[in-house]
Amino acid sequence: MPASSNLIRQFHSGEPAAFGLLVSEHQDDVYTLCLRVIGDAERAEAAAETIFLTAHQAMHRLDPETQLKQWITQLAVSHLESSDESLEPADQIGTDQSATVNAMLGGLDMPFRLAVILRDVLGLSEAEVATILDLPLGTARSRIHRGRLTISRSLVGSVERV
Amino acid sequence: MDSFFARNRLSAYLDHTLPRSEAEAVAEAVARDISLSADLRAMKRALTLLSESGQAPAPTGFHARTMASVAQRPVPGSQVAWLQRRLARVPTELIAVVGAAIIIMVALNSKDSTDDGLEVQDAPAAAVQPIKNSAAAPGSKTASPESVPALKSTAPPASNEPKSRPAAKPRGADSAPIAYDAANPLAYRILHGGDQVLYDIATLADETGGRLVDVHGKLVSPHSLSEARSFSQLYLITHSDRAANAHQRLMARSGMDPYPLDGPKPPLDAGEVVFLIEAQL
Repeated sequence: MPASSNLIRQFHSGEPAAFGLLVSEHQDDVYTLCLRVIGDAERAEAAAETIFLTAHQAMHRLDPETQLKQWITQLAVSHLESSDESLEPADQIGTDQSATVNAMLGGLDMPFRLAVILRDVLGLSEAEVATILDLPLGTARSRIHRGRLTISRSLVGSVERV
Repeated sequence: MDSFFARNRLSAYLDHTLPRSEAEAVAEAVARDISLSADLRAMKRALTLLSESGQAPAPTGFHARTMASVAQRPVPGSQVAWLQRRLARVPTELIAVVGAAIIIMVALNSKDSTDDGLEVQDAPAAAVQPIKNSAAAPGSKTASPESVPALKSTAPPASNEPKSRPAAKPRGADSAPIAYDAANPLAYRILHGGDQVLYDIATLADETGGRLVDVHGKLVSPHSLSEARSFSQLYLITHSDRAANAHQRLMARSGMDPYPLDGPKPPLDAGEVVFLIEAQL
């Protein structure tokens, strides 16, 4: 798989396969982010497609040294924040793991939800989370921690109810 | 460390980002506080659940649907960017020479419009092409006759032939075809070659012992061009012994005007040469 800069240069030189490679490389992360923020598979897919279309329109202006993963994630976050794509109210936490994840995240306000998804679902570092959310590192850490505490308590509560 | 401070460090404790002394203090606090211990276990479980079940692969067909949507939209600025890239590679001196040639040609054109039967001697191809645009430039009649270089009279003075210069013919129509040079690979743009043009190129590859690949050197299969997929770019790799033949056959297509291939190239083995083929429906 070519490095970010190669992929961007190929796109700039008119290589038609370059954008396809970008989609292949990042579609799972972008879709995951959308699904975990929105909670609905159909709406998440539509949002992910919109994000890639936005990327395609903007990519010709992109500096070849840009880190594509960070850039595409920032685009996704920006789209999700601005389009009011809010997660449906949390369903009852059940036996389906994916639904349980959605239910846990549904109990978080958007800033904490985004921080937790980026850190604990997509596996980004605290520094990357801070950069993507345009936050000081300390603020990003605090959001991650508070988000984790909230979902872990909701998990304990649900287990006790079950 | 009391439980309040320890609770605020549970995330960092689980991430192993605390200094050793703080990590030990948190561990002691967890050991003596049941509530804190429960929070730690719950957080561990939540993190495990998020990391193991949080990822969701994109639905089947997502890539194809997205690329189909992309194909329906033009890339804004792409033509501008293309032009900028082309101009960036042109030396300033060449721009100056072409500019001077344009000025001379404007002057010649002005002379043509006033002197019947005068014809410009053969000019370099680089200087001929701009005159197509400059022929109609307003104000061209102001050039002085002294600035006109060597002219020769070839038509009768009373000729009624059109005074304007005929449009330049495409390169290859009656001018010398571009010679093949293995040291300088070429790119060929095939416009309006029909929806099966890539199959023609694949046949050419077969017959010249070559292969079609993408920029990474991966073999590609030809496909029909369509409205949704109207442009394709691929590389023809062949052995240097047969490269001249491949070049001639590409040049046999009408309207071919190859240009230097200075972009990315697929990896080549020894003795191989590459051609870039760009096909537009």
